[in-house]
Amino acid sequence: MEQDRDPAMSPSTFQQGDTDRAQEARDRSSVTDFFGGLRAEWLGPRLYDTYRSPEYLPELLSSKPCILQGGRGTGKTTVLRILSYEGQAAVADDEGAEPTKWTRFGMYWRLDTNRVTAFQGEHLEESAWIAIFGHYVNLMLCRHLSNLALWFAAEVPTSAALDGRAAGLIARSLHLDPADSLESLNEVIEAGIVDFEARINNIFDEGPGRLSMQAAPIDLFVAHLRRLPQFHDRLLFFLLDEYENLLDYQQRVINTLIKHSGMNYTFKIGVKVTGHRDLRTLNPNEALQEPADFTSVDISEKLTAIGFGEFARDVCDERLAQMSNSGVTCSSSIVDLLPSISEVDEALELGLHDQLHRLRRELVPKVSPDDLEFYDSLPPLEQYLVRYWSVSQVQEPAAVLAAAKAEPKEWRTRLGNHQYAMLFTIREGRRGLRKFYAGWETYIQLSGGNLRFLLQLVMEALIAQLDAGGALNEPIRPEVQTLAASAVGRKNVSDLQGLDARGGDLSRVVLGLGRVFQVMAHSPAGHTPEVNQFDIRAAQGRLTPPAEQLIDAAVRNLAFVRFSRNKMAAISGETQDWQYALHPIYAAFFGYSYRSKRRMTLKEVDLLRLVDEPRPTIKTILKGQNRDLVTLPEQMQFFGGFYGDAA
Amino acid sequence: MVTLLDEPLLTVTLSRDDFDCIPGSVYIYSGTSEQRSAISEEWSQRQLERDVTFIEVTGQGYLQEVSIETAGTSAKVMLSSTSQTSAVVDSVPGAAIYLDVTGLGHHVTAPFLRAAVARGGEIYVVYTEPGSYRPSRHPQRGAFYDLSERVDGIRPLPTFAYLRQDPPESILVPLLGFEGARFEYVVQRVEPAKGATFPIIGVPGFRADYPFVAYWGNEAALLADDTYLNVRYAVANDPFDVFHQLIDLREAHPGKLMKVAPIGTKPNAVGAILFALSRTEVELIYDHPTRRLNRTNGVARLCIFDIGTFVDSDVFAPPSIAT
Repeated sequence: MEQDRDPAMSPSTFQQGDTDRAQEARDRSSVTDFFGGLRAEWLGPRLYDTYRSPEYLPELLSSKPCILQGGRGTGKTTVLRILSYEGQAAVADDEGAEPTKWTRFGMYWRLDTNRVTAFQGEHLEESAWIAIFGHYVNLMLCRHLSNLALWFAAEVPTSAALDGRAAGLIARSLHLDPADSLESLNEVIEAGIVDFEARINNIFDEGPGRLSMQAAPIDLFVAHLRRLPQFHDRLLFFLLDEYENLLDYQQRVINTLIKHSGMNYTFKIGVKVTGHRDLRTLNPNEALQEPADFTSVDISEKLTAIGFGEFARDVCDERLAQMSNSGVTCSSSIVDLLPSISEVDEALELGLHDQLHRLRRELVPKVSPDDLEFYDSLPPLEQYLVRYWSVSQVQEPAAVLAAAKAEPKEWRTRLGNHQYAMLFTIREGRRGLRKFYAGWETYIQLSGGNLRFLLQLVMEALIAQLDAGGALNEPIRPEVQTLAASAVGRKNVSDLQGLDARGGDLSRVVLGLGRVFQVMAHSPAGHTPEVNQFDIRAAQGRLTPPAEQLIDAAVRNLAFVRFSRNKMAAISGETQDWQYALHPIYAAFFGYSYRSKRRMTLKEVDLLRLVDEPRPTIKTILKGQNRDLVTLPEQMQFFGGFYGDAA
Repeated sequence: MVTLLDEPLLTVTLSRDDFDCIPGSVYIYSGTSEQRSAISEEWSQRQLERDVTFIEVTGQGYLQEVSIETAGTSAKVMLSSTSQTSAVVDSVPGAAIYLDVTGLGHHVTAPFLRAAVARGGEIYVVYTEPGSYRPSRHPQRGAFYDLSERVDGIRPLPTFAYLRQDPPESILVPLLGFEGARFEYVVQRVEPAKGATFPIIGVPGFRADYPFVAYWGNEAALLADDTYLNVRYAVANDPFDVFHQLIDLREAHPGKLMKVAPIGTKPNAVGAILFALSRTEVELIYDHPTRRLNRTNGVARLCIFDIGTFVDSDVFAPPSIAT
């Protein structure tokens, strides 16, 4: 007799299960592949496929020096690399443009910390280091010029060659061995760098050797290149990335080159915010001035102004299309994948009905039938405002309801001011999510105009969707989006430690302030709602150097974002007056509002104490805001050991 | 030249009481706040009777210069002067050299080791393991132990600046300790290509549980980019084992620049320094931490590494050790 079989256990079902799991693994791998390559350095050749051309930044294409500022992940390296001749070549391969038709040639140089910091030491005066570093810059930029010329010669074998006499003169200007061709010039430059390295490593005994004059070999090389038809009327860019790695005197050396770069060549500089510390040149009477000498572009501000949301949407949609082409079934629209949720729906999802049910039971014996009817006619969030306001003002709910009925205009204003802040209180004392962070626009806000953060959020949401058993062509539920946003916030808090030499300090400050804003968001009643920005009040007149350095590091590494309260200062020359916030990428992890709203004052001493004594300082700051600690939310238990008795 | 393929026994492990220097040798060391770096009066007296010359590095606060003291006289030594470091190493011409790295910063070990290797002869590196490490007051992921107050930042070790043209590709080889934040910092500064990071973890560790602590401390950076798939292991208290691992990586990645970050144990750092001395296209990446006072407690084993024999072998086989 044939045994009955459970259809769910048939071999074909097992095979189907295996196939599904394999497909899910492939989908997951595709998501990390297409959205996980978050750094330009990781993308390799795909960099040029994945990113759009930097046409949206015309300042980068002009002959005027440009300083491109932005935090990590804003795309500085990407745009600079695309401007390099290697980047152009990769793009041109697709577009079929010959190098002979190019109007510009960029040479990319990443200012590596481990190289530029070799040029310092107490045993030599700064003036000596300036001359030594100037020679190094000459060697490096001439090497870039010779690499460019060699590359062009290889690409276009019929092009005119640099004549032997010119090669010899350039070698002489660098005090190198003789050269009589471009090839031999390239070799002697390389050998010259090796010799120079040996001298730097034994500089006390041997000295630096003969040094070239600041900029002279570069000027000479470029002048000779310009006599060649292929470079005659083309723009030559030096693309210097990670300018913040330079020591102050080294910035002055490069500033001098920028100041005098003229028409033959120009500089495009990538630097983190607060990283261009010194605007002086080597001439004590001269400094770089904007707009006379350069144009500065804050990449986040620029992208926000021209529509970061659209730009980011295009990048994400392009990656979704690439995923789809690789065989993954997925939506073609990132906006469709990340639906938002209205505040009313969010409140209901968070369990508003339970709260309202209890409130109504409380009101029934205390209000008239008319007032109860009025209460029943109110939308759910307004009903909840009765509870919220009664707690906030320490009034009976019946009295609050009567006031709402009597003063409808004031009531509406109150709702507008507190509606968002109220959402954090609905699940007070209960486990689970306290607030949703969902929707494409919310993700844009959380990213703070930073493409790397945005891609992290999207990747995490797509993976969370797969983890939740969903498909990539179905909208991702708000709670799944929220968990993803929280995970990205947590990752970035953790990553702070390794971002900078002061990473440990930054991590403690962010964990400390994050806890402060979380407590304030979770107990808003009776206080100004949505406080998530701060001024820093100096102990005496102006901030001390330790505080300034900590704040600079925080801004540079996107622990803080800063806003000018005096937008005309850059033009008028007045001192900038800043206010700060934690970067919005942390908001979903700690659980407070990501919206730019209201601010508090933070004492300089408390900011500094967050580094050394975070636990008591958290309590001190909260006490100043008339708050007590509340239970540490589940997601923050990850840092429970850090918070100790401030948990 | 000795072939060492079948003779890996260049490490001797014992207690300090059982250890005596070769008569007439030079012993370079530094006493710090850590108990393990201290040398007892009794032991030093015993060595003095064997005609050992002690050179104590008394000030290591500056990256370029140290103070040394020998037989009651003190002097300054520029670390970027090979003539000065060589003079210290050869203060007793031809004598065996002991470089006790337990209390020395890498910025001091590196130029002195270069000078010793350049001179040749009998060279021993001495290292004393700690009894335990001090737990952190504010533990976080990657910072379970309170070992460093901060890092001063990436900067070349004296005499190891690398300015040459980069080969088209490079790999990052961090020699991991417990401080994951330092690993993450190095990754942030170096920005290796995807899949091009090959961490080395000390296995066996000083203690049986230490490899797990290393994994725990470095979890975030190991998970990023699936870097954990590239992990290799080398004995934590042995410079030669890590050297062999570096050779394997060199052979697996010919022509690529190897950026080696010695942010783990001191014996492993010695292996990295030796490798940088013996091979081209090797760049040392170091973040210069400020060590926390009393970061360790107690004293465990003392290890002696026979560097002189190793340097004279075909494994080291230096193409050039000139700066």
